[in-house]
Amino acid sequence: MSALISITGLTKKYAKDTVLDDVSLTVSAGQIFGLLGPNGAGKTTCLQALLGLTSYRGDIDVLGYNPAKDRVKMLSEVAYIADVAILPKWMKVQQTIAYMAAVHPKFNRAKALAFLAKTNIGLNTKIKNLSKGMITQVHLALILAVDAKVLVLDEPTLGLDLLTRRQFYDHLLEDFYRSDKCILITTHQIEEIEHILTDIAFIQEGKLVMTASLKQLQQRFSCLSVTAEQKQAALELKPLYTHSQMGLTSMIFDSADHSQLSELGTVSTPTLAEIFIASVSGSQPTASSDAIHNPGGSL
Amino acid sequence: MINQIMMGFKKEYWEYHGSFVKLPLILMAGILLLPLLAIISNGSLDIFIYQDLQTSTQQELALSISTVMPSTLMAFFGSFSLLVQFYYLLNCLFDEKRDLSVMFWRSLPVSDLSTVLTKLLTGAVIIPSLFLIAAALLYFCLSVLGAMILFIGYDLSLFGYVFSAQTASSFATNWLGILSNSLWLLPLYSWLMLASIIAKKSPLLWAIVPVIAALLFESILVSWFNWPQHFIYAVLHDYFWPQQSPTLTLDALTNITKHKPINLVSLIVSALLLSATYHLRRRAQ
Repeated sequence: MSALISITGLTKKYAKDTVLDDVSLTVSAGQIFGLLGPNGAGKTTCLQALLGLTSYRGDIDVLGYNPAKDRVKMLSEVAYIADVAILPKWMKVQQTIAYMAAVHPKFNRAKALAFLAKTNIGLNTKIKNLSKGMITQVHLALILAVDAKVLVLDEPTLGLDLLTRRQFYDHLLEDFYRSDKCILITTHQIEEIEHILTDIAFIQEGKLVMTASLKQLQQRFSCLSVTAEQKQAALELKPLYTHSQMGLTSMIFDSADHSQLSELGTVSTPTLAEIFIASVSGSQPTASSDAIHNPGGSL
Repeated sequence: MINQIMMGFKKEYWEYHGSFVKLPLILMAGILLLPLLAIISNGSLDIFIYQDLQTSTQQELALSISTVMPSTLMAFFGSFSLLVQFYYLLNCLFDEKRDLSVMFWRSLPVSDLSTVLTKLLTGAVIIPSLFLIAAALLYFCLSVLGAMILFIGYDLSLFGYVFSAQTASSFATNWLGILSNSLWLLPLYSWLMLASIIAKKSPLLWAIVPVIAALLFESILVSWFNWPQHFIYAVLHDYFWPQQSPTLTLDALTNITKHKPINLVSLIVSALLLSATYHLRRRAQ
């Protein structure tokens, strides 16, 4: 696989605050890469640096371009959705298409129109008169009509309802994804994109805490469900994360022996969300649950 | 590339067409409709020209049509144009930040330099040109209407003076005046754009308050140290209100460039202000 995005030693500071600290990662053709992290972890800053929208230290290479110097050339081959609410409110849908057709060398007007024809969005409608879901569809139509090698999505479905979110990702796979392209995406709704991601990086307080493929994660992490009787024995195996609810305790283990775990309870493959929580946070206990983050576990 | 540049201007037109096109059209319609309504309500043509005909010669009437009317219209439309230009330049970069669309524009392969220059040209040249075209069209309509009324009602033929070579020349010269005006007011236009990109809430305050603050500060220093004169005030006054200030007559407008204190310093100041605007646009997120 050829690397389409290469980030080395990316560092970004605002006054005394270090927002990104020596971040390095590579995204190759065929990958759908999730950059996941809690609020304020530095995900958006990382994407902004990647697109030449903010200054940074370190080296970034996107399709052979340096984003800080060749932003305009690079954006001819990179599509970007920053947020669903950034389309200009005063514009009509057909004006957005006309504008894209004039300024973007790789924009396919027919493709955008074909996408919009499947929706109930009128071309003469102003963006401000559309619902948030419709604006997302318009933005998606514009972006999917660009023959870009790299698609960067920053919280693209924030504030959308479940159905629209599902449609968004379905279209992404059907209309954009090919083995010679890559998608880099940040989102909080990990459960909904788990099935489309091929690779992830967890970022916390500006540092990458893990980079792996989904397959590697599934092989490496285990989820053990134990009853109260087996809980103490399981805790002695140093789980990364423990979560108790309604008499049943779930534990996430990193690189544990499966046969040893299966003697204590039911072993399953943890979801990406569970691995994420175990990796980046000590979850807050609630009235109905009790979660413990074990700092002794290492990533 | 040409497509991209043209689309840049088109985009500005789409966003601000209410000020660029609708306002001149409303002004034209208002000026055209008022006399027509008066004629309809009185049922007579006499109210406008009877008195004039008593005291004016045909030559004086011709002069009114070919000289006084165009210069009056150009001054009238020029005043509105200035207001729209100031409004546009103050808001063109602020609006895209306010509605977050700057993130959309910057996600496309359009350079920030091209965006800033497109907006500057729109504010400095396109808007006054549109108002001048509106003034010219209105002049043509009014002069044809006036000539027809004189011909039908008083058997006076002044059609030869309607859009004569002299009038056409005065409109053309005024368009050239727009270019020289743009160079003269370039520091002001650049300042307004800088205020537009800096402001988080009110670009007007950003444009005015620093100037007032500088003048007040200077006044305090002048009175404190007994300096002989106010430097900032003098520079601003001499630049924007030169002593040989032209009046709004056709001849003065024709010779307008002779009175404008365009100099290298003002061009350098403009370049610095525009450069700051460009760099701030590059950092807009």
